[in-house]
Amino acid sequence: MSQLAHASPHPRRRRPRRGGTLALFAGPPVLWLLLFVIVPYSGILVFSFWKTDYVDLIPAFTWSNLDRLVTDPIVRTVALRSLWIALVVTAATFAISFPLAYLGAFHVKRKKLFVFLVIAPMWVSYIVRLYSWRLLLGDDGVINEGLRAVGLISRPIDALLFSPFAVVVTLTYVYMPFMFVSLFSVLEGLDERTLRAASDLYANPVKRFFAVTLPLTKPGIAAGVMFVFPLTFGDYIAPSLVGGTSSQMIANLIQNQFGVTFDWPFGAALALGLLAVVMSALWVLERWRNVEDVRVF
Amino acid sequence: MPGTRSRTAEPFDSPDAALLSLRGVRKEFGRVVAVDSIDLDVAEGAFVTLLGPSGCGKTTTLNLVAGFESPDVGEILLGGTRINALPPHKRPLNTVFQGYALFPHLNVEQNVGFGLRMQRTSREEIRRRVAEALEKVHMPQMARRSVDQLSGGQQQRVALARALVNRPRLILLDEPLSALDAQLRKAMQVELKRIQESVGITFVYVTHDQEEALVMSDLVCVMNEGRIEQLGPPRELYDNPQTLFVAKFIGRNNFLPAQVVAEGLVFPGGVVVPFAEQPGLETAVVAVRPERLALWKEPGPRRLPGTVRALRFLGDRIEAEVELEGGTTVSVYANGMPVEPARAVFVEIPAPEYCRVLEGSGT
Repeated sequence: MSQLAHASPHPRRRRPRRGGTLALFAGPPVLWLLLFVIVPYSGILVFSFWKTDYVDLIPAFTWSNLDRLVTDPIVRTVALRSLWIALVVTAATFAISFPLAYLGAFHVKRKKLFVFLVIAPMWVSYIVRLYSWRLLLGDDGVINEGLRAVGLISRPIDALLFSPFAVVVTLTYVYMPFMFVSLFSVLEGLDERTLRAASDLYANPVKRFFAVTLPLTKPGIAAGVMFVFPLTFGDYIAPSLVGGTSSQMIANLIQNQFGVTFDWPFGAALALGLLAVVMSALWVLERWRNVEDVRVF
Repeated sequence: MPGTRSRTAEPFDSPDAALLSLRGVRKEFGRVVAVDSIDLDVAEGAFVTLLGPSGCGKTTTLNLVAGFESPDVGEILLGGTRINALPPHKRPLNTVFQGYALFPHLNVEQNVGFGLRMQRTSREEIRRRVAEALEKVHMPQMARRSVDQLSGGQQQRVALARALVNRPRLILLDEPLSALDAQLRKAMQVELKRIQESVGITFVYVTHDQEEALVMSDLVCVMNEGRIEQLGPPRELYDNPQTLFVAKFIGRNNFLPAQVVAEGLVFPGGVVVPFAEQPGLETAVVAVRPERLALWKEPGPRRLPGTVRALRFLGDRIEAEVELEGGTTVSVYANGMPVEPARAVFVEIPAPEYCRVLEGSGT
């Protein structure tokens, strides 16, 4: 042993040291994952099989909570509502962000300032922004008062606030910067020569957009959707602050189980359902992102 | 050409008309004059190279022809038709871009077929012509490959096939070989020329590499500071540069300052060499290729005294750096003559046909 050790320039020290460094660097993240991901999710998984007796949790093994996910009409209504709200918000953020990102990437000289102005609202507290929308959309809010002042309406439109519409508007506003940044970074990185090559090969501006620019933006679209869809699908604050009772989303339902009815097992089952939807969405997106453009002429 | 406009002037495609003509074309970017009143005619089927250092305006000229820039002044004619206002996608020409600019989301076949697809060519014809084009560039087995699986040389071939497949009358090439290593570049020079001759398409080629220009071109257009310095076949540019810039840029050259007097030229050291032609200058720079200078041990007429400063072994010959009296250094090939550093020698000025008397001063 000692002879071998002497043969190496750093005798004995090396191996244990390397192990120590590994533990030092890998330890915190592993610990973090364990404490804040593995343990809570395992807990949720275990809870979802338990039962309740009024407010008492009873350890058991029942499928009834998971069963309710597919049979309970309320779950179905709320889940479908969450899904369509998330899809509409994702589509709306894309529809607003793409032209802005395109403009910024190709037609704006002071790009940094432009990006800053577009995403500036992101640095204002989420709650503050939601309350601002209440001021805008409420019965005596800016929009209703304005319309009344110019004589377009005589009574306030109450559908503006405390409705799914309000949730869509506020969530679109809140999550638009995520979509914008994802699209902008990809569009800005496109090689001008690739676009010129398309023009050179007889593609008019419209054809060029659909045959080259848009397909090359795919990674940015995927990234943007990966941000916006899961964040909106699981959003809890916007429906509770501007949504009213008619626009409860899945996270509100979960919150009810934990905070109001104390049906933790059902709440856990709902959380698993939400996770499943989000994970499948991410999986589909990842597949889509990696699919080559299959159109052959 | 379709269209039924009456043509009272000369017909579009009279045999002596140039395929591409630039007439007084000028382009400025802010206060920088990128292209300064250029006139250039490119004959059908020719291989013409725009050669010059970076910033000389060659790429801007190419972009003007392709339609990515529009000229401030002047006319661009293609097949006799003015194309100044025609957007790039309507110009019947194709470009091989620097760095190739292949579409990363399409495979080889789709890249090559892109131009035909945009022109709504039928599927079968696209297939047939794409296969033909890939054959032409020696890439027939690669049709279904993704372009990021290709080497630089292969990408270069795909970029060329993508232009050839459309059978345009004119292909523009913007430093297409600059990303390849030296060996591959040499092989591709020969192949590009072969392909160009076999398809008979006019090539306008941009490069800063004079060797590339001399090897491939029928005509070389040397550009500097937005202007054309000289236009001619490679041999003529080498043998008969018209300006100091061309003499410096093409091949190796020695530059000797001289005074012009009635008897001829007075070189450093006071040696007078008679010259029949009078250049109409007081001072001149005489450009002489290293292979035209001769090295002597003894003095004689037309011989300038100097001292050997350094020797370089080039394999097939030895090059001597000789410092002439007066301070000018020249390169001479010591063909068989034994030389060593610090030795006093004489450099013989060749006959006037090998000396270019140019305007300018110093070296």
